[in-house]
Amino acid sequence: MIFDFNQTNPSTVFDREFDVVVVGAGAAGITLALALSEKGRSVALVEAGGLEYSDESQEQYKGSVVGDPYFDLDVARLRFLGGSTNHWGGWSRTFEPVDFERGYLGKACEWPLSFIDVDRYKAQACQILEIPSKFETAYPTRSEIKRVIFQFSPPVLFGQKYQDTLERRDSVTLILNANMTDLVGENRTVEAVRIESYSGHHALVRGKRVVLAMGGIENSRYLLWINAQKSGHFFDPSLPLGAYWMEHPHFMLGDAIIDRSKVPHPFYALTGHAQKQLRILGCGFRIQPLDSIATKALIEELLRIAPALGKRLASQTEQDLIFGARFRAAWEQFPSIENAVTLSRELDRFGVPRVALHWRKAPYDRETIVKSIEVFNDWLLRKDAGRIRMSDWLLNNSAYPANDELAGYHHMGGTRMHRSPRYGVVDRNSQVFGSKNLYVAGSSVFTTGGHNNPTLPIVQLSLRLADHLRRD
Amino acid sequence: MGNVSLTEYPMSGQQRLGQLLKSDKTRMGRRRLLTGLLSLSAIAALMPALRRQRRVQVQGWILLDSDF
Repeated sequence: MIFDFNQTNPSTVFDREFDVVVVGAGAAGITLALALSEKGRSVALVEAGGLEYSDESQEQYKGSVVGDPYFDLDVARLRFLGGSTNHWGGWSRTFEPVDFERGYLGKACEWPLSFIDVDRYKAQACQILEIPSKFETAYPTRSEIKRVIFQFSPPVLFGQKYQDTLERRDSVTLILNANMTDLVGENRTVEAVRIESYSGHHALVRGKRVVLAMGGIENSRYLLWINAQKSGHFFDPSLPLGAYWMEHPHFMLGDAIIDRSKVPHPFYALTGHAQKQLRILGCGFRIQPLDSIATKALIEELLRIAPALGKRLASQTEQDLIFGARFRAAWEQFPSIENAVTLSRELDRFGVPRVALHWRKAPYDRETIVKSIEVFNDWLLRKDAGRIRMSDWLLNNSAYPANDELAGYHHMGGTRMHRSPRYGVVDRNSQVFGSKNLYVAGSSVFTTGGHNNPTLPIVQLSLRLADHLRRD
Repeated sequence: MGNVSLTEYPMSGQQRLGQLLKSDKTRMGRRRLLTGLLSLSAIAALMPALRRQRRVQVQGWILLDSDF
């Protein structure tokens, strides 16, 4: 059932105790709520926005960014039913085995889960996102480059897709326009979530367990704020809250001339084996074809610089054997403790401090892309499959261009999963260290980010958390 | 990136590039000549064949010696 907390304040909802209270109705929260309800658990799903976009909800997302150029925080995500799935492009891909084998980069990079722990939820998650569950099944160890397979969701907008289901399902109570303003409880046990509507209604939503599924920035923001008010009351007060925040930087690395027969796919990356050998992180390459005019311009340039090659390419382009391309990359950031969600002094309308996001690309980012492009370029040359013209900022080791794509709107880390509370905020079951019943869902629990889009892993991990909560 | 000395570059390629650079002095500042664009030490273990290959970088293009 669905009700709007702006309009009504029904005591029947707030007098009862739910099995689980899920705060946030995006990809993680809706997946979790529906999976739990299918196993007979009663769930209160608390959503800060309404069924549609509204300025009064979105305004709570305003914040500041310290560091590298980044998007305004109130446009980088959405605050209504379905969350940021309302503006995603549908790019879907699972984690890879190497994503769970980053121990060579230090203890902070070690997941408490294995690839198999997450991969077993792939088929179910793909069904939710309405995509085939076909990705690479072979992970070559002898080649340094592999094809990368993405699947493209329609995209599934979780609010639109599941609104009717949520309306019909008695075991889920979706409360719209309900902003979490506090946690209530004793002895490291959360007993209720205090909520407030835009119209001034207040209430407590009681539950045996509480899951924050508020997004890759908000999960950190609210835990930081709760810790600032009631340090040690609900969880270990010394956790690295907000830290190790990550994005996927997206930049154009250059232009290329590509042989269609030898490089037939648009997406490539270094194999896990090669990443480990080079001690770098993941970097996905995207080959984006140019039109014939731009292709011709590249070949004319090569005719001036390298006539032998230029003549050969000019002949090949007439036969449509080659094409010009933008050579783009999206890569994985090293989880740095300095990249962090922090609280500013400015408060939103509910008295919660706004976010000050500290985010910079580190020297390790540059090392990952430079080494990755070197290997990819060599692979191209050995196959005589193309030539790359690298962008000036890469050649000169100068600043990243400010007018590029910048990043993927992928907010990860901040309440990361780890074996140790020294490096993480939640354990392998997404339970906040030191708490008896507080959990976190979403990409904020990622220990490392991989180089792929996070929605599918978010759904996979949410299904895993649902399994844990219904067993527990 | 590991720069390799110009003197290590094979003479034929060096001569060709010398001519190229002279032909357009205004662009000289943007041109780099190196045979070791690749960080050989880092990836030698992965691809020993790299040690035998020569690369030329001109106006950002990473080219083979035989491209000229």
